[in-house]
Amino acid sequence: MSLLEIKGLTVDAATSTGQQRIIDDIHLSIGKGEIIGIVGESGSGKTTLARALVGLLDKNLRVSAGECSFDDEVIISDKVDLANTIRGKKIGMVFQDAGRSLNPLMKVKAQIKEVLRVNRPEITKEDIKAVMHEILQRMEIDDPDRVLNSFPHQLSGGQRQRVAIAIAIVTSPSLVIADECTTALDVTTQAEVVHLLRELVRDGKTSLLFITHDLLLASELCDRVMVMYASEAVEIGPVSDVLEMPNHPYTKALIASVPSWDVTGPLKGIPGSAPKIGLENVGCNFADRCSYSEPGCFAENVSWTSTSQISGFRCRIPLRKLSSDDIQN
Amino acid sequence: MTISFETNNSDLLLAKSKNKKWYKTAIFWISAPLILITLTCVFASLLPLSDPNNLDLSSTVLPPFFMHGGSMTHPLGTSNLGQDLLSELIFGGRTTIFIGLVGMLGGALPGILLGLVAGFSRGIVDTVIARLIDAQLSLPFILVALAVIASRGHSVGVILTVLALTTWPFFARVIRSEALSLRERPFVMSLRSAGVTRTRILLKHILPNLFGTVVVLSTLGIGAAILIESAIDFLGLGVTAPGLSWGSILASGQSQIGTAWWIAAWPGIMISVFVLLVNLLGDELISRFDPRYRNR
Repeated sequence: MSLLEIKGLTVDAATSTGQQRIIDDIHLSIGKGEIIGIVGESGSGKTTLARALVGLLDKNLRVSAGECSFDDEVIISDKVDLANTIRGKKIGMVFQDAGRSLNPLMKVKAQIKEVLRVNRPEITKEDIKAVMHEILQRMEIDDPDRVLNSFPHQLSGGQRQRVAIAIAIVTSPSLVIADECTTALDVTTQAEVVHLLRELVRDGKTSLLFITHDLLLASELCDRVMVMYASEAVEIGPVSDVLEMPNHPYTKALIASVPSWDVTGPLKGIPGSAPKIGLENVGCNFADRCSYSEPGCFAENVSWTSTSQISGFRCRIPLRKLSSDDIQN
Repeated sequence: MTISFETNNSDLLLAKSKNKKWYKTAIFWISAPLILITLTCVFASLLPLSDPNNLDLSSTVLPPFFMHGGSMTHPLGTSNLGQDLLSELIFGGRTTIFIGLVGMLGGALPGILLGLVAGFSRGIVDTVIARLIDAQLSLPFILVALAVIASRGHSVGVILTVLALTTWPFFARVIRSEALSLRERPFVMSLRSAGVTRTRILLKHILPNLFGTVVVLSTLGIGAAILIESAIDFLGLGVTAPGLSWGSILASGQSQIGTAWWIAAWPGIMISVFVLLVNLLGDELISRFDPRYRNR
């Protein structure tokens, strides 16, 4: 049974130039204890998707179609917004810039305490201290006492991100959304944070939605990845399938553009740039830049093809040749 | 065997600043003279001073005690009407400091309130307030002062009104932009995602982050109010005899600056020193309200 079920979620933005589609028809289900990665370049809609899930969209954005249910209860749709009942309690979030996602005027202690008081009022004052120590120890912080009594600016970048993760998970949520939470860190600290996140879901009760633009990092951590391009999901599947046998040309191009030790010669970029997303776009969003595109790709919209419960893609001419019984729906 | 090289830098620094004796802090050395000056002026009538309006035509334009012809009876000298300058200075300070404080509050309270409302509500309310700020700022200060004083006459109340009218947009503008940027700070999003309600974020996180700015603006506002008031007095539009203020003494000393420079010098020095001290206090307070500066 899945924990979070996204069905056809669509988010529109009201801009001065008219409506724009920021998230287009996303389908995704996250199982208990599963790590899902969302990979895509800047502006592909990853962060907006994460914010839509917790009902924290900017004022000019709104969910125009589809729904998202948590534990079989619809929490977000074009009419419903019950996200405030689960924010902090069942979903924790970690953001990119931990230094700025902590209140600079409050000690770490006070910030963790506040989240506990708001979401877990049943924990007594005496227990709070023990809980805080335990959570920092789980975050592999050596001297919890000092960190608890520090202001954010007195901590290193890695420590701050650990504190931010601690705040997100101290209420024992069943889903943690990490939005580019390793991007501002150097590579070694990144590795440590990824390690911590993996430890986090080891109990099998917590799921993780890991948003990144780093394909390698995602492949290292996640069970499944969803590749996003220009507001759409172009491919979902288990990491090994997606990386080794991508169905969508964009995924393939993305993999080819990752630098590697054993490939020499210039790095392969993707020609062109991401399209401006509007409502009236016809055809595949990637067609202009795709080396496999046919006239048909420009003429008609491409629908989502599910190959199994856990995988699918959005392409007319998938790279992997599929037999008809491979395709569901 | 493991050797720990870890010296806890921030703890050391914190410990240092905690052990610092109170009389060694900059705050003390700035606020002590400020308080001293203020108390002296407030309790002027209890001091053994001659009445500042007591004219003594037998001893006019006496120099201060350290100059030839001066005496300790009038340590700072006398005015062209024989008034004791020390007494004038202290009684004048009373008005000036009062106007500085109250005038600042008159501008700060509506300014901060409007700035907050504009910054947090955005939309139409913000637009209206922001345009009001622009409109007020586009009116030259002297024009507003002249218009109000011409129609309402001189009095402390009118000066306070002028101060409130001309200084509120400065407070409103800074607080509005600060509130606008604070509400978009990542930690607000992060708190919201942790289930903290909007009201709680506003009261517990955003307001404390504004507090430093408010304190600093207010202290700087006192200095500005005193300068403005002195300027109005100097133009002869503010406090006039028998009322006294540093600005009005300065104005009365103007005509004799060639022969008796001290009449204008004392109030000039007092204005400069007081405003400087208040501004220094403001600078020092910034670091008190922001933990990022606390250990410097």
